[in-house]
Amino acid sequence: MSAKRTPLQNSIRGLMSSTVLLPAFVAVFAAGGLLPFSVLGANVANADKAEVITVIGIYIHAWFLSFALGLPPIVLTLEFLGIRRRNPDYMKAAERTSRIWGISFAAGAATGTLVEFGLVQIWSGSLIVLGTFFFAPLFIEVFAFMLELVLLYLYLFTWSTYRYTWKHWMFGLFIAVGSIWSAYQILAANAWMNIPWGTGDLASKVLPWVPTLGPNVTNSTAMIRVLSLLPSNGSAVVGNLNAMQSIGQILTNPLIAFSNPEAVPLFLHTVTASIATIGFLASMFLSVKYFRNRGKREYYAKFLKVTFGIAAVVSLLQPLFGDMEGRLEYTYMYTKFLALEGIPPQGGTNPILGLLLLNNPNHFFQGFDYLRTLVGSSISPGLASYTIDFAQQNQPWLTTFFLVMVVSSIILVIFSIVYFGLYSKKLNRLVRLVFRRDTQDVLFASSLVLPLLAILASVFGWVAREMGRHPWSIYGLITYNEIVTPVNLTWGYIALIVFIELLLGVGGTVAMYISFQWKASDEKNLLSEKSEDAQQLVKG
Amino acid sequence: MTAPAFPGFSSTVFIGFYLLGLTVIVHIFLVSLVVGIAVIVPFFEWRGYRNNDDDLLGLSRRLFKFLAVTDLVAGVWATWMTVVLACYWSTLLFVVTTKLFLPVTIAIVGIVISIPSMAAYYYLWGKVSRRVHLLIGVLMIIGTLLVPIGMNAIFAFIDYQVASASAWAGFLNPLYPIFIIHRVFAGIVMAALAFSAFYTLKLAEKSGKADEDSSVYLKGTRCGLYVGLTALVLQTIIGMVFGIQLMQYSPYLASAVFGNVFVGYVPTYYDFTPLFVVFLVIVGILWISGLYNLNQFRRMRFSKTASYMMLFAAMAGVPLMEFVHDAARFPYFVIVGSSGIPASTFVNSWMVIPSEFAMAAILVAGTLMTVFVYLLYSLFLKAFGAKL
Repeated sequence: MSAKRTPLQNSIRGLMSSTVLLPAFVAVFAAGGLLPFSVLGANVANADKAEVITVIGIYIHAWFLSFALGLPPIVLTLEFLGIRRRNPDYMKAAERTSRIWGISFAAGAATGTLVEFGLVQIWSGSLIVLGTFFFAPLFIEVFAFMLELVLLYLYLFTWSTYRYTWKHWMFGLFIAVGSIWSAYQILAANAWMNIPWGTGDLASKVLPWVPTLGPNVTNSTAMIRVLSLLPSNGSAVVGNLNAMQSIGQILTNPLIAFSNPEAVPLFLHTVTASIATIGFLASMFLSVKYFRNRGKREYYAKFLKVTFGIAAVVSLLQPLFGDMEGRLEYTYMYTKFLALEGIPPQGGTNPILGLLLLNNPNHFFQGFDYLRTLVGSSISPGLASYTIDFAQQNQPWLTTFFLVMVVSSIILVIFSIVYFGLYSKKLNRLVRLVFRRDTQDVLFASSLVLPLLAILASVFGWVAREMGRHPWSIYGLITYNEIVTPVNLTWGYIALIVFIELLLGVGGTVAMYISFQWKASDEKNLLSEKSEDAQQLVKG
Repeated sequence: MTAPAFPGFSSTVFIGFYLLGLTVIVHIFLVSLVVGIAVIVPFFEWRGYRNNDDDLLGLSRRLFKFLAVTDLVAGVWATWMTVVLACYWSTLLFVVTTKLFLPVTIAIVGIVISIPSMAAYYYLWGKVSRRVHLLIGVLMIIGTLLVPIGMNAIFAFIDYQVASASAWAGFLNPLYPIFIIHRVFAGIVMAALAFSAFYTLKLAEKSGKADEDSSVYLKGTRCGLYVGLTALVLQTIIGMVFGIQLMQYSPYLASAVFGNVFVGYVPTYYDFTPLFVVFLVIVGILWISGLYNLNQFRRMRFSKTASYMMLFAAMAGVPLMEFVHDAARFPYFVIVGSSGIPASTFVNSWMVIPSEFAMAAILVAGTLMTVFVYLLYSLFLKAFGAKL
């Protein structure tokens, strides 16, 4: 073996060494009695600890899933161009990019296992929801997952067997369909947690400002019994066989989660955000390569045109989907709306919001103070007050997160418009006037920053979304401490799981980076004389 | 003696039981292969380095490709199994994840260690020192074994329960130690004898014409036979001990599987003795074909018939006995002595689950898995055909 190692190889060795320590960690925790597990009732302290695992786990999972959702359009476009133009450059680029797709999928599956078990083991009370409202979304999601998995291996292993064939491209297309389908199923479940559609006026009995949430497709008696058992018993009630059997039928329409008005907007918003983030990230990769290796300008430009183009198109759609989401928050999750938009406690006007939501710039938005006047009509005034207090106390944070997301998105939209300067002479002139640079140069330079903004927008968008629902796991119906496991979670256990999660996150990312190493010699060989669009870009 | 009154059950109970059974059997079949190969591959690599045996190293690398594909398919079925548990058997899943929190956590840690270590093992072969690579292999073995170490506490729990509030109760189950050893050795027997049969068939096809792959095939045949038959000796003893323990701790299940041939027989709803007899025949075939192949191998002869029989017997034993072990408990789910807790107690009663879901699941699983197995394995055999 060569003794000379790069810093990256050293870091991998370090990572591997730390992986080797895992069993030692388990042994230490077990020996010290730090692992849980005297059974307690449900409590907030336990739920707060569980949240640490869940938040980190879901963000790491989402990081890999963004690739699984964002890479298919890039890979498929590159392969499409490769097949259509019989161009080896595009084919090679598609093949290389598909490796990251494969690794991100594997890492996503590993972290997904953690998240899945987290849901049924750490948040074991959620099994009531899994067995009812989430039944259809999760059950059908497995079909999508299977479709993805079956075809992904075929796609990755048959590049040489089916080179330049539409058959291979179709494999990829169906994987993309599987990924998007899978995302829809999961996001339908998440949307239902925010707007528990199909529960009629149940949520409004606790939170009086919540409107009727669709037709009531529940057996109200059974549903109310569940909701009354959870606060006093916590998730332990699910393990009480007699209590569970006596509840009876809760839900009459298993497909209700798909009727949720937020299911489609959330899906569109999230999927396009993932595609944009990965598109900009791929552009950054090309841009770094370009600035390090200026002689290859045309080579990188042809790929930038694809990656940035995809990101630009979906970024331009983002305001539309964001607007749809905002309207739903205004209608169904008013406390979150107030916290995100920074409406003062006494209420006030916001011309932009008023115009966008109600075509009335002078509309007066009621604030937290008004909501407090409704608390008296709640069957659980304490919980209603807590919901308002939490939103109001965290309003500065939530508004900041929301603003970061909005401002980042606006910048992304501006540069997405700039992209079309590649195709429009008028726009190109305008870009030159503003930036004193050619469109292509502006795109290369901006690509160094835009992915960071895209990641910021995604991360803060989700933080605001999830934090804005606190303390509710299912808004207006079930709080987070009611569904946490009755097993006492120790900090030793939390540390162990967080360590594993971080290890997976770092390890998966390093693996993706290694698999995507483009060597200068490859680029030299790959640069095809036939690449018409590269010539056009050079001329342009 | 007659069986006790049949506990009531709905179509949901039957469909849920059927779906869970399907996913468990397919998953166990695949993970048995995974466990077996994951243990064998680093062992062969270590022996290969130690003896400077390139053929053994080549064999180890080729087997690993099969492991990667099989583990992936097993993972899909595991996900489906969890979803079926969560959706149809929500209460049972709660009981299991709460009472067996520690074993389930260990299994999850195992899954999370095994997937990346498998990827690292593959991608870093030849790119890091032998010692580091073997270390990753050890990690892969640990990760892979932690999964059955954790999950088999669940299987032991539904056969017999220990009255203890300890976090370690899952491991204190008297059925557990033999259960886990039985599972691991089943995997080793299955994997070793199956690939040995595969290589013997390859050699038989060549009819004595040696080429560059012949030495690897010979190595595969030899190693598979020695490892597989040694494990089979142990597995036969372990199996008998397991049967005796089952009679002691889970008489209902033992009665349903072994029939009224042992002391302590209790009436059961269904009699799975005929299937158990079939299993014994399969084990017999495995013994005879294995010893016959070993004898032939020493004379450098390769029998196609004996190899096909060995391949079939190696692959059929685990899923058959998994089916018997799981189905024999019906209509109970958790066995308590000579009776049990009916499956209907644990089934999701909060919603009428349309049977279309189950039908769609079976249809999709069947179609996609058929496509997958046909396309992927045939591609693998074509692409690496000579290499497998």
